[in-house]
Amino acid sequence: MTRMISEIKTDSREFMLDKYMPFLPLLLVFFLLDIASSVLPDMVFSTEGLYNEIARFGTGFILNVLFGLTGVGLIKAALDTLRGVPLKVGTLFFAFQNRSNRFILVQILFTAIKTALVLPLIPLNEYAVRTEMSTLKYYAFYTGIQLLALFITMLATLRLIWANYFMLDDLSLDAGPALKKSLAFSKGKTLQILYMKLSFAGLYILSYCSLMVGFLYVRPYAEVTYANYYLSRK
Amino acid sequence: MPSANNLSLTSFIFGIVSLFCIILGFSIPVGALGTITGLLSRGRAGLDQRAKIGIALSLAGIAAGVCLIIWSFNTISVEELRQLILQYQDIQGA
Repeated sequence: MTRMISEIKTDSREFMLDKYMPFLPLLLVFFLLDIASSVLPDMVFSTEGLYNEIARFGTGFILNVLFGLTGVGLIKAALDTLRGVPLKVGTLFFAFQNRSNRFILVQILFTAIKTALVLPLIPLNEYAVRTEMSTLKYYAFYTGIQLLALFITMLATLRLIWANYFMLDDLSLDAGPALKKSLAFSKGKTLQILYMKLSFAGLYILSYCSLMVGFLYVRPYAEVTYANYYLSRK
Repeated sequence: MPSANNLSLTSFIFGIVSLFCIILGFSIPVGALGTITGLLSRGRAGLDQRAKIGIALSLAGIAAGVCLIIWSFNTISVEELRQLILQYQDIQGA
């Protein structure tokens, strides 16, 4: 299992050697949108109060769904790169232009799962604030909670992530059948996919250490590896 | 493969720069970039010599940066750090 994944990763690395530059404009737009979608709700609804809390949560949810569509654009870019199609910045917005309703449905499902799994962790954060622990301890605790949330979300959506790939390949495919195809595709391969996802953890940590600049290399590599896995196992 | 060479050359340059950046305090981000580019240059033939040196220098830069942070925390007392944070907050507030 590990050998097969490392083969795919080596193939992707060799394939990507001269293809990081075309990804650059896409990634810059992607990261700008990422920052905007995470900062905007807090900026617009910055004051305390129930109304603002609800508005912040709602706006955050909608922006998360919309930002997820640009993630689909990155998947499309990875598939295009593997198929030798030249990349354009517009590829990032592919999901907005081609029967966007089905991509939106899948993104709503992903965001709902993520939100439902992260909600129980909020009381833990509240507990940490109430106990008045030191700043350093609080940040360590907060990072731990975030990592736990990320891991749980990854586990929960592991078998559904291929739905976007199927919908990108077949423009007439609806969200429901795509999710079913994704479940069928990942049947018996869950551990393999989990191993593939976790194998990028080291590079992601290094990317955070490089003040996010490393993501300009790591993100295309990871996306092309997933796309390569999808194309080889399809 | 010229591009593999490009990535390994990038790693080598980042490795050297990370060592120079120890004084400026930027050795960890630059070293991390050097390590990433070095690792991504690895093909079927493995790492070339330049990438190996680049990764080694980058890791040395990261290690030196971490040591510098630990040394700073040991040198500056908690009280001094608190004063520095208060000064910083004053500047932010002003």
